[in-house]
Formats: sequence, structure tokens, C-alpha cells
Amino acid sequence: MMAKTKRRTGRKTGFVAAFAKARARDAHPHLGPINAASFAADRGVAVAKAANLFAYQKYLAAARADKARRKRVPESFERNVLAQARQARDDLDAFTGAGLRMIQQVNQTGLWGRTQAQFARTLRDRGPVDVRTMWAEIAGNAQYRTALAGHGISADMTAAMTEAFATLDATAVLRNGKVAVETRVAGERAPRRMALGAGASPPAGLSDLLRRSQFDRVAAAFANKEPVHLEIVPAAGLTAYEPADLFALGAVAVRQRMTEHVRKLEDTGLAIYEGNDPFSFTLALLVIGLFLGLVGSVIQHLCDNPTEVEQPEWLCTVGAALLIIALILLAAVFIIGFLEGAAFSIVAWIGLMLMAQYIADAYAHFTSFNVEGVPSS
Amino acid sequence: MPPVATRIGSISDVLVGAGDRLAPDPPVDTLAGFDVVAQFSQALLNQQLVRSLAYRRLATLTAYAPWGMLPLPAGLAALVPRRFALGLTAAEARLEVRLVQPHLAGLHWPADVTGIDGGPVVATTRRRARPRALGRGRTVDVGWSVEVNLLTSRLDMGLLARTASTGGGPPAGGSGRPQAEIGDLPDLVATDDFSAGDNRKWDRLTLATGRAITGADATLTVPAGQWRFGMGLDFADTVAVVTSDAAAVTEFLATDGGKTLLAQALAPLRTSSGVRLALDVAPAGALSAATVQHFALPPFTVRDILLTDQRGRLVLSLCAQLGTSTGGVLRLVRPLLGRQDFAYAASERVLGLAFKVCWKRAAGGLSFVGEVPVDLPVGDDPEITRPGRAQISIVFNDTLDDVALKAMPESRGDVVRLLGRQRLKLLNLWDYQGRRITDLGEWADPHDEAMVLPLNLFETGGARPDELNPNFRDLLLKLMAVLVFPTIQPSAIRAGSISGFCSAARKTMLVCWTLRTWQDDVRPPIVDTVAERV
Repeated sequence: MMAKTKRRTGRKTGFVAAFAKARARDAHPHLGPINAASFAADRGVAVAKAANLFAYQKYLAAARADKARRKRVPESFERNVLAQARQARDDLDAFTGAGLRMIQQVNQTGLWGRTQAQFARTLRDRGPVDVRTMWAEIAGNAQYRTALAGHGISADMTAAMTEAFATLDATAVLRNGKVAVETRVAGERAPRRMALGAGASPPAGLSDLLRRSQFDRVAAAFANKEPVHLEIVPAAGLTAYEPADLFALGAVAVRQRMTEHVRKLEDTGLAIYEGNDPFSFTLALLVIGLFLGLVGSVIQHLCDNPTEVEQPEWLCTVGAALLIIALILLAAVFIIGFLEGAAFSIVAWIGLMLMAQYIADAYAHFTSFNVEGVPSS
Repeated sequence: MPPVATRIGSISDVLVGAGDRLAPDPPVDTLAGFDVVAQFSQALLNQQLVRSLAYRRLATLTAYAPWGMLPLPAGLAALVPRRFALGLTAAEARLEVRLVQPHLAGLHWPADVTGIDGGPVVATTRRRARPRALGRGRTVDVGWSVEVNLLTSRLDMGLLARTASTGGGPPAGGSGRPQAEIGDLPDLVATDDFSAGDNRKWDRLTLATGRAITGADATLTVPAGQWRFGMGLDFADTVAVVTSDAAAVTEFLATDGGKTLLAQALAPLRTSSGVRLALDVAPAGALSAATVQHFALPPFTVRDILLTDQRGRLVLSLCAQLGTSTGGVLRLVRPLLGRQDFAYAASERVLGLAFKVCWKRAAGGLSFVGEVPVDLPVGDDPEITRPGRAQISIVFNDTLDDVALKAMPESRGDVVRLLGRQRLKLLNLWDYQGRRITDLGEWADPHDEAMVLPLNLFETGGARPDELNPNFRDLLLKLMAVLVFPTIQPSAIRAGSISGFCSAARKTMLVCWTLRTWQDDVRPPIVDTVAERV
């Protein structure tokens, strides 16, 4: 009865206020060290490239509508769309590269654990909260919007994000003391759920052991443009996803989607209907998730290291909230896409063409047929 | 292969080759709605025809009569060398008509194959062998070299002795293979020709030669329950139309005796079955009916079209659809060969089925052992780790869950991505000081997880063959065969000629190759350069 009363009271205060209330009151700095110079440089890249990507999304929608209206377009139109898409792919590569470098630093600061603990306390006090409510509270506050614009989230981006969140059903809940994300998928009775891990834990099994530090492996593959195939695959038995895992999964998935988008333009031209194009809702959500996570991390870093200008308390809370929203969003995308869970697979490229002579020589050896095609066994 | 929209040239392309930019658009309409489009050059059709005839011992057709039994036209009789004239009355001799060196001489396809007037095909490389109403069916002209020979008996005591000791049957495959020239008579060739119950050896002297064309009906062959298709030839009604610069040949073959000999020579061809014009296309290789049933492979519905490419060469195209699909449009099929001999375009669906079948045969239960670096926790704090090494075994599951064409960045072409399961087992673990950890705890439990194998046939970067685990390299070769050799019959190909593209957006893969020729075995001489001498 006491808990119910408390929860009801909590709802009246709003999510951001409840979140602020749950914040730990300890002395600065809370977090581990970050190389401020490279962090700021990567932040600059990420913000600029995110703006480019949002602009590209708007351009693409307009180009699609124009093509649909004109019925037939010249080849030069398609070439221009393709040129823009390739630029967007380069922007995305720079964005994810900078983002992963930032997250790699944040991984060592303890930020994930602190923020999730704060969120867990909020959920315990306030009950489940859906991501739309969280975002609406932030986007609906002029003071917040102005502050976030200073961190790269422009009015256009805010509008695009609001539109994207409107279609996403994702709720954060507390299960057995752990933060989890639930989402409902059409045709399924029970919601799908993914638990968020707060920090490193001993490897529970062989899979855990082999997957440790895979974030660094993905970051290196991105940074060095390594000849590897990266893909998100179904993975059962993973108990919880750490924030670093979600950001790495997001980076891999968003690059794959963008690659599909560009290759589709190369081979078939611009689709008139958005639903026929991989550059769609999912890709937009992934970019938003990654971007909000980066902005939230930057704000948290600034709050923890007040150098010239001390950040207001409410902005620090909003920064932490953005981080949480990013994690919920990324988790929701992956549990919608993968029933049992997701993991990334890294496979080195193989120079198959270098084996052409082998196969030319060996073909007669390993095929089981005679010249008339009768199986010999 | 460059994408469509970048293949824009300039006027200077007239002066400097434009390369691939001027090639036909690669991914567009490759399949034209079909699941498989296989195309064959005339060279490849010719090779398969000759090979198929040879396999059925039809590459040499022969018939003979005792010398003197048939009246010879004066022109032919005059060709018999004088030195033989006396001998022919004393020793046994034969008059032989022989057809050798078969080759593809012409293809005749009806105009209405495409279902449209003025379709791309009615083509031939030679005059038709026999009158037949155009449009009734597809016919193929098979050319031969015709010989009118004089066979003279040669007593071979050694052979007699050997034959007597082994029971005297004819040797396997003993149909007219020239073995050696004799002395100073270059056109007189010793042979090991045998007829039933005949244990004599014959010397052959070719009196005159000509050319013959035999016609055959070409028919699509789609054997039930074998998941393959091809094109066969039916010679049941065939006759030979003979031409020659030597009038003696045509004169003789116009006589009753000549006609009879020619008909006897053709008899095995007319009663033959199973002669193939095109390689049998089998996306998953040679399969038994039980395998086809086990994997529930939908049958192919096949159509054909004879196209003419930009260089005026004929291209036979076999176009297949799976199950009840009906989306294929024959008139949209375009020549894909370029300068090559074989092209194979397949849909993602066909590749998926083929790889699933082949995976079970090639990869099921295959295991690999190797070492990987790991971050090992030290002490009780999971945050504190040190680098270690793990020796693990990987066993591939024998089924694939998914086969898809996936877009790849960096313009290296898209990949055929195989997704399955693999079982991992930790065999050994060493810490950062190289000490073996004996208590593996729950890490020792086997673990099943997803297995991803991206196949980019056109990739030249990445791991080299000699860097691969030998078992894995063998597996890759077998998987590559699904893409490169989707045929029952093997072909010797020029390894460097393999080309094509893979399009995730089109859900299509195209592979082309060129036949290996004698020129591929010719090596340039070592060049003695001034620099080397200095």
C-alpha cells in the first residue's frame, strides 16, 4: 500500500524530476578519466555528421516524393541521389567511428553503472516508464530544447526524433532488481524483453569468455577499416546486454543498413516507396539511439568535470536521461529484430578469388559424377 | 564490377578503352523473373556435344563392305593406288565409309520461341541439313568429316596369339582410333579396328573425303526428381547430307551401295539416346532422387531461347523457374556471356536451396581446432583482466538456417552469407604467462552459437588460401563449386576468367567463365634482357 502511494506520487512529478531525485549526491569527479581533447574532437565529428545524416534523410524523402510525382526521372537524377547516398555513407562511417571511440573511453569511466543505478532507483520509485513519455517530457520543455540545441540536437532533429519515437513501443521496467526493456510485437501475446547489464561480470560460460572485449574488436575494425565481415546474428542465452554491447551492435547494424541502402541505389535506383528501402525507420532509430547516447555521454562528462562553466543540475539529469533513452531505444530495436537476442559476428574476409586456380584444378577431383551426370555413389 | 550509375564515359573513350563502363548493365534484368538463367557459348556446346558423342562411342561412325562387293564409280576406283590393285585381288580388303570429327555446325530455333514476332532468334551457322518447317522445333546440325576408305587386312601373329589366349573378344572401346603412321605412306594408317568375331588388323587408306551434316532435334531434359536440367539431342530421324570437293565421294554415296553403307554408319547414331547438347545445369550438383525428396526441392520448369549477342554470336539460354513460379519473361532475357563461354545467374532462393543441400554433404560434422586470444579475468574482480589463449574446437552443424545475399561496404561486391550453428568446446586455456589453467569450470561446457560464413567469390583481399585451416579450405572449395560449377559435367576452365557479380538488392548472383584452351598451356619463352645480362 505504501509502495502504491509512493508510485502514484512519483507519476505526478514527471520522469525527469523523479530521475533527478534518484541521483546519487556525491562529490565530483564521479567518473574515471577521459581524454578531453580527443573526446571533444570526436564529439565535434559526431555532431556534424549526425546533422548531415538527418539532412540526408530529409533530402531522401523529398527526392522520393519528387520521383514519384515526376513518374520518370533522368539518369542524372539517379546519379545525384547515389552521390548523396555515398556521401551519407561516408558521413555515417565517420559518425560511428567517432562514436565508438567516445564510447570506448566512456566504458572505462563507470558512467554506465552510475546511470543505470540511478535509473533503477527511479523505476523502483516510479514504476515502469515508456520511452515516448521520457522523450516527450524532454522535447516538450523549451529550456531543455535550448540546452540540447547547444549540444547539437537541433529543432529539426528534435522533430524527427519525436516522429520516430511516436511509432516505437518500448517500456523500461525493473525485473529482479535489473533494468529491462520490454516491447510488444504484433501477433505475440507476451512482450519481448531484454535485460540491461550495469557493468562487467565474471564470464558465465564459454560464450561470455570468448565475447569479452568484443567491443574493442568492433571499434578497431571500424577505425582501421579492417577486412572483416561484421553482422548481427541471433544469440540465445545472453542474460544481459551492457551499454557498450548495445552501442557496438547499433554501430554494426546501422552500417549494414546504410550499405544495403547504397547498394540498392546502385543496382535498382531510388525506390519511390520508403518501405522498399533499407534506409528506413530502423536505420533512423539506430542513428537516433547512437546520437542520443553520445550527447548524453558528453553532457555527463561535462557535468563531472566542471571546467570553465558549471553545468546546471537539470541539464546533468537530462543528459543522463538521454543516455537511458538511447539504451532503451537500441535495446528495443534489437529485441524487435531478434527474438532470442542478438550478438555480432566478426569473420575475416577470405580471398576466394585467390582460390580460383585451386577449384579449377580440383573440380574433377571432388565432384562425384561421371561425364553423363550419373552420381557415382 | 562498377555500379550502373557510374558507368558514364566520355568522348575520349573512342581513343582509350572504356573497359567495363561500356559493358551491359550488370544486375539489371539478369534473371528476367526466372530463378536460373544458364547460358552457353557455341564453343561450350560444341565441347559438350563432342564429349557426349565420345562417351557413347558415337564420335566415329563406320560401316564397310567386302572390297568388290559394291560397284565403285569410276572416279572413286581411280583413286585406288596402283600398287594396291594387284593385292586387292589376292588379299582380303574392305570398302569403308566413316564419319569422324563431329562438331556443332548449326543451331536452328523457331522464331516463336519467345512468344513474340521478330524475336531475337532464328540463326544458323550453316545451311540446314534437311528441310524442316521452321517453327516446328529446335534442330541442331552436327557436322562430320566423311571418309571413304580402303581397308586392307594385315596379319599380326602376336595379336593372333594374344587373342587366342584371351578368348578372342573385341577390345573395349575399339572403334577406329588411328595409332601410328606406317613408313613412307603418310595417309596409310594402322588401326586396331575390329568387328565382331574378327581378329584381324587393318590398314586404312583414305581414298577421298567430304563433309556431312546430320540434323538432330534438340529437346529440353528435366529429369524427374533430380533437380537439374539440360538439353539433349534426338537423332532418330537423322540423315546425312554429304558434300565434297571430290565428286567421287558424292557419286559413290548416291549409289545404292553407298547409301546403304552410309545408313549403316548412321544406324548407331539414330538409335542413340542421351546425347547432350548443353551441360546439365544442377545448382546442387549430382543428387539422388532420395536427396531431392529429403530436402523437398521444388522441381524446375524450364524454357529456352537462342540469343544473338552484340558480336553476332549465338548464345543458348536455358531459363528455369522453381515450383509453381511464373514470373519469368523470356523476351527480357539478355546475353550475359560477353566474351566468355558459360554464364550462370541464380536467384537467392536457388542458391539457398543449393547451399543447404551441399552444406549437409560437405560441412556436416566437420571440426576445426585452433587457438584464439581471450581477455581472462584475474582474481575476484571481473574488471581486471589479462590476455590469455584459448584452444577451442569448432564443429559445424549439418544444417544451414539461412542463406542470403548481403550487401557489403567498400565496393567489394556483395556476399552470399551462410548462417548456421556451430558447437564450441574449450579444449585448453593458458594465462598471460603461458601457464595452462586446468580448472575450466563451466567454461568447459560445450556451447552452441550462430555460425556466419560470408562467401564473396570475387574477393581478392582478405585471408589467402595458404592461411586457411586445410579442412576449411577444402570446405570452401566445395562451396565455391556451387557458384562456379553448377553443372553435372566438369569443364576445364581458365581460372583467371571467372567473373560476375552478386547483388543483394537484386537477389541475384551471376558467374561467368571461359573454357581453357591449348593457348592457356603455352608459356612465353624466357626473355633474355640486357638488364639480366648486365
